[in-house]
Amino acid sequence: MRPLVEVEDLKKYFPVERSFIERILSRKRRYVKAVDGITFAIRRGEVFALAGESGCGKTTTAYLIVRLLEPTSGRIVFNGRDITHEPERSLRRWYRRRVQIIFQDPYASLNPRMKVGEAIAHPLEIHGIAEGKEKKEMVLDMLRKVGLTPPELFYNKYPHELSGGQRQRVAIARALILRPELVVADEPTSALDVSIRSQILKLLLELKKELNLTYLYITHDLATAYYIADRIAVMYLGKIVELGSVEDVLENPLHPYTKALLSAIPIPDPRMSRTRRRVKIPGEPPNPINPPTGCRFHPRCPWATKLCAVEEPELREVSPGHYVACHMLK
Amino acid sequence: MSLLRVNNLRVVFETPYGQVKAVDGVSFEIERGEVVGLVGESGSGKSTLGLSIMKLLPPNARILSGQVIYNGVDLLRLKEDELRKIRGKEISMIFQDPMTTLNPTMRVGEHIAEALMYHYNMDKEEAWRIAKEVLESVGIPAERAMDYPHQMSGGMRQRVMIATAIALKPKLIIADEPTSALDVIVQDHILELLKDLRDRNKASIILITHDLSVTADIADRVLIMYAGRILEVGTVEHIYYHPHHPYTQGLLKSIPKLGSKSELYIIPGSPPDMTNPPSGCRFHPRCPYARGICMKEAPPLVKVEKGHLVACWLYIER
Amino acid sequence: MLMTDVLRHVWPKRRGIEHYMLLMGIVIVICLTIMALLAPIIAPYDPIKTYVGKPYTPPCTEHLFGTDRMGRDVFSRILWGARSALAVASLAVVIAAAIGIPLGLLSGYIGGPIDRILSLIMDSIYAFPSLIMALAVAAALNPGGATSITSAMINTSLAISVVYIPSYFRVVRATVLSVRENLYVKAAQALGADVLTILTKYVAPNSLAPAIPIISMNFADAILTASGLSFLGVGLPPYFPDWGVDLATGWRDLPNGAWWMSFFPGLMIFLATLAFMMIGDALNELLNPRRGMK
Repeated sequence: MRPLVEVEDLKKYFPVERSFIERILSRKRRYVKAVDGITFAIRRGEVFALAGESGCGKTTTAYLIVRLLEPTSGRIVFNGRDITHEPERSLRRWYRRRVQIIFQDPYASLNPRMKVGEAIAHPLEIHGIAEGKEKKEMVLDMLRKVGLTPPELFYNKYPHELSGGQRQRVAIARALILRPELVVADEPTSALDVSIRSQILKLLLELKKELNLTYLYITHDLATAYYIADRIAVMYLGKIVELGSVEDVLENPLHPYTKALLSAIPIPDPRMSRTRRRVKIPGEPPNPINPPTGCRFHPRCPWATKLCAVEEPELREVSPGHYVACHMLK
Repeated sequence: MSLLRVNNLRVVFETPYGQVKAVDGVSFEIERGEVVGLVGESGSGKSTLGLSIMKLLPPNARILSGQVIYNGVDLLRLKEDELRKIRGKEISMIFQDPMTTLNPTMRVGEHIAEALMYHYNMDKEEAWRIAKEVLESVGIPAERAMDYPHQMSGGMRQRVMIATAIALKPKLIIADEPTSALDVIVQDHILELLKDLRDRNKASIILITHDLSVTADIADRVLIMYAGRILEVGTVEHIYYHPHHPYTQGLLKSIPKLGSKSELYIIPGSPPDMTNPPSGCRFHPRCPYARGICMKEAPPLVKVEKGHLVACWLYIER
Repeated sequence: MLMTDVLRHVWPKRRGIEHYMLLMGIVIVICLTIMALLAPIIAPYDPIKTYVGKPYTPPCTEHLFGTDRMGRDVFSRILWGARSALAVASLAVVIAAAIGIPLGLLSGYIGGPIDRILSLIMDSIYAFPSLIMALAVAAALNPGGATSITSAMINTSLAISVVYIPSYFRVVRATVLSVRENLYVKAAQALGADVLTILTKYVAPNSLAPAIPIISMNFADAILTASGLSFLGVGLPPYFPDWGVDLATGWRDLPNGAWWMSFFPGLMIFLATLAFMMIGDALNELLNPRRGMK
């Protein structure tokens, strides 16, 4: 079966603002290469996680797929249809109903002046799906589905009257009321209290089952990715370094960056956390305006050779379904 | 004698929506060279507790009662100029966002040098020499001492804060979510530096965090706070392997762990609205074991083992 | 945000000096409005009619505020003057807000060349000394004097409003620049909302609060400017009861010792300006989101 989303050699470069003097001296425009040639596919019905540290390009990728940003180059194919450069007007007609996004911060993603009921009903109005009593029924039903019961109580509340977890439930309801096929979840639990995170994770999994959803789950938290996702891609400086099932990638990581990332995570178990073996890497990710030549990870890599500084490694399949971009794995 | 003792501290905030009891009768102590993790969610009062030790509370906060005994002196009774001599030199604070404490118009080396000149009466040359030395010891090349804070990444700035602490040799460091804004690899570096600081200077650390994994990695003892009160205190062994309070148990079971796909435990409800907190035990609306008494009366902290205290009616015989 | 929440925020149990400033300002404005509305009933004399009393009568029981050089009752003129002052000021503020706010919204949200051109125009108006600007516009609109009182009032308001448009434009545009970066605007875009819907339902309601204090401050300034224009002869005609006009004419008799002819109009301008300033300052302080409003 054809994947729901196919991403091919996707790139997004953001121009760097030049100062007045730089413009006069007509210095060349420089670019932040936020996403620099990534290829992956999201299968229908799976949870695909995109993981990495801040600045790796995972959120930019999410925005590209939802088409809140237009790609610089490459291709995004949804359900067999190329939407890479489809104009906003045409996206509004069909794509925006079928692909939805849940943002990280529920304090910022809800309009403070719109009541919960209005916020969830708004997508129905935009697309002219339902009106009047029918619309209200659909909203109440959705509120019930996301666990905001009794729904009549929440219908007339303002976001600031709700807790963080309840707000995120509203954001989920707003995204799902259009019955999308793909839901992009951009770190939906990281702004929430610890005791609320598992509630939202469980809700997302239940709704996925009930509504036949496919998720693109963006996260920096590999333990959460392991829990919720089927497959995962690990990104570093705009590139995918490793891709595969969560079991393969997170239990048997092959790329040195994935290994380092995994071993740096503290474990909520003192004995295990204090005895874990670290793959130590120095420093912090370099500036994406001027990424290192060759393999972008080579300046920090414990295994780097001369080749790594010159040639960029391709993402290669090392075992069925497990892809790694590293020269040391042949 | 312990280094710091907090006795029955109560702090309230005056807000347009009424009085908020941010810290409601908290007592604990910290020994020399010990790392105590202060774990809680938003509204638990953990940050307020950290700030009140240094008397750095915002203007709408009031300390109703309590003592903070440091080296036999109650810090809450000291005057501002006496406190200034203690801040930085004796007790240092590290915040989540170092930009709030670093002056954007001062070079990072200057921050450290100035502090040394103020607290230790060093001359400029000597102070700068030590500043560069400690920056190198936390992995920042000496030439970057001339950088301004905005030229550094969040991780580097946090290193500067720790370098300052290394230079001034405070006996106690209060670190409020020092790694929450950082990526895991940088977080790992910073936690290593904190451990190093404890070992090198014999410093005590109060680590305020929402993340039970961080305290598992570095703390000797853990305090679980909820809605302004302490629910459980114990060594990491107690807290992680024999948690007693239903909240602690629930939290530990609700964190995703690598290698496990088994269903996560769910603590129902939300952390309480602190303008209108629940009666009795503040956790009772979310507790699976809640009984009549839990709604009426707040349970006292009682000993269940040596050094392991729990505030829950389940462990109090009546 | 619910109206009750705004109220609770603006008028909480614990109050500071801003709250009392707000209350005082509102009380004065209400008094002025009542004065303006009831002028025909409470005014003891026709404000335009000359020689209702002996010219230059100092304040006495028959003429509370005295009479002017043409024997008109100053008290009656003050009461009627509240009408033109409030009418001109409110019209000027409404026009300025009605033009400045939508332009600011559009300019801030769309950006690009439109934004640059609009900003340039607004900045040049802003850079111009305001009274001279209003004077120029008023002179252009009223060549050789207006044909009727109504058109004189409208023209004066228009002249004043031109000066205020940039302040609305700038403050709204600046707020939009930050509001449009909010995730809820992105969320609306992802839901498929068009630009107009995003502007009216998501951006505008969250960008207008900073314009509220400006409205009341402009109100104060408009009364002053209108008086100034009348004073300089390009506002309302001299016989019309208006504080600015009366101040201007009465001022000439100050050397004769007839202080009441300029004192009472001046006092009224001062009071009205003070009231709106207090409201504006207080709102500016109280609606400031950094004031711990969750």
